[in-house]
Amino acid sequence: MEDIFKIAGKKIRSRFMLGTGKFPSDESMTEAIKASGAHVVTVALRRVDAGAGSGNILSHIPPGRIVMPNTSGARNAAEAVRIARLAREAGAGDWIKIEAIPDNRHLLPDNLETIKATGVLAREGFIVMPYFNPDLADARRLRDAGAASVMPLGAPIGTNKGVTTRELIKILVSELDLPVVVDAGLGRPSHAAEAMELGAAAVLVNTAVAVSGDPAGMAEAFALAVKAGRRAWLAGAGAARELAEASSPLTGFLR
Amino acid sequence: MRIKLNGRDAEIKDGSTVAALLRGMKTDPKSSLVELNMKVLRPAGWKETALQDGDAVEVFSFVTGG
Repeated sequence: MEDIFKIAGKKIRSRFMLGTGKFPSDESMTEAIKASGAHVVTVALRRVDAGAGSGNILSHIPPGRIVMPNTSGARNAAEAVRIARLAREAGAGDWIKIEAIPDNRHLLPDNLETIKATGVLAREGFIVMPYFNPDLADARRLRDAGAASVMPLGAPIGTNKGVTTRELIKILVSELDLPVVVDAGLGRPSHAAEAMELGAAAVLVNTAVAVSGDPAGMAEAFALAVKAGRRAWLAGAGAARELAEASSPLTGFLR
Repeated sequence: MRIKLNGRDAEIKDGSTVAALLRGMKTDPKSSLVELNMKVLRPAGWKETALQDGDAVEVFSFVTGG
């Protein structure tokens, strides 16, 4: 069965997107990207400290991937816009994941600033993927501002707690005519499968893969879970029931 | 002369170019991005752009991240 996934009209080969942070080495990151099959891979942008030296992360990303810079480090819309423009000037392309995070303790995004940045960057031709607190009214504002998808958090970044925003994700999926990409907090392949079973178009994972004992193995496990969850969503899960219902006939043998 | 480099005061040789500044920072120019006085300066301009006293230079690089 053909199941085409598009964002902003572009065909995306995998519903599993991978972040590049926290890997033990560049080599393990490269191997994990390959094992994940991810088509969309995120990177960040930072000031370079004098004398510290820096390698070129982009050279460790296998060819044929969409490299999507994020605006991590931005606390508001203006900073997010600045980072996005800088990344594009540097040749990173038009894809941008907006993070506008004023809160270092919980790393929760500021939806208002995220919506503002989305509007500015969408008008400048960026393919905008905003990371936000799942809220239907704000999701509609992001859509109206020109977002190519919405990226609601499953749980706070790096917590590995899973789809704690489950009910809100379900509402976004049912009400929104944009791809819903669950980002952040997915700690296990089963969490990714759950997000996909709820109807998410894709998931983005980083920490759970990068800090695993075998990042490439975990990347493959997530990729399989994403496929399984997607297939289940398309097939349609049976409704949950309060009482048991036999799967074998209850009559005609002993009685 | 004195410039602001990534928000901090820095002393550099008079007439230094942006390219020379990057060399001194030991950063890979292929992955570096430069803002001069809050405006992006593309790599094509690094060799010919001599810094002036009081310039604000920000140097960025792509790094890993989710």
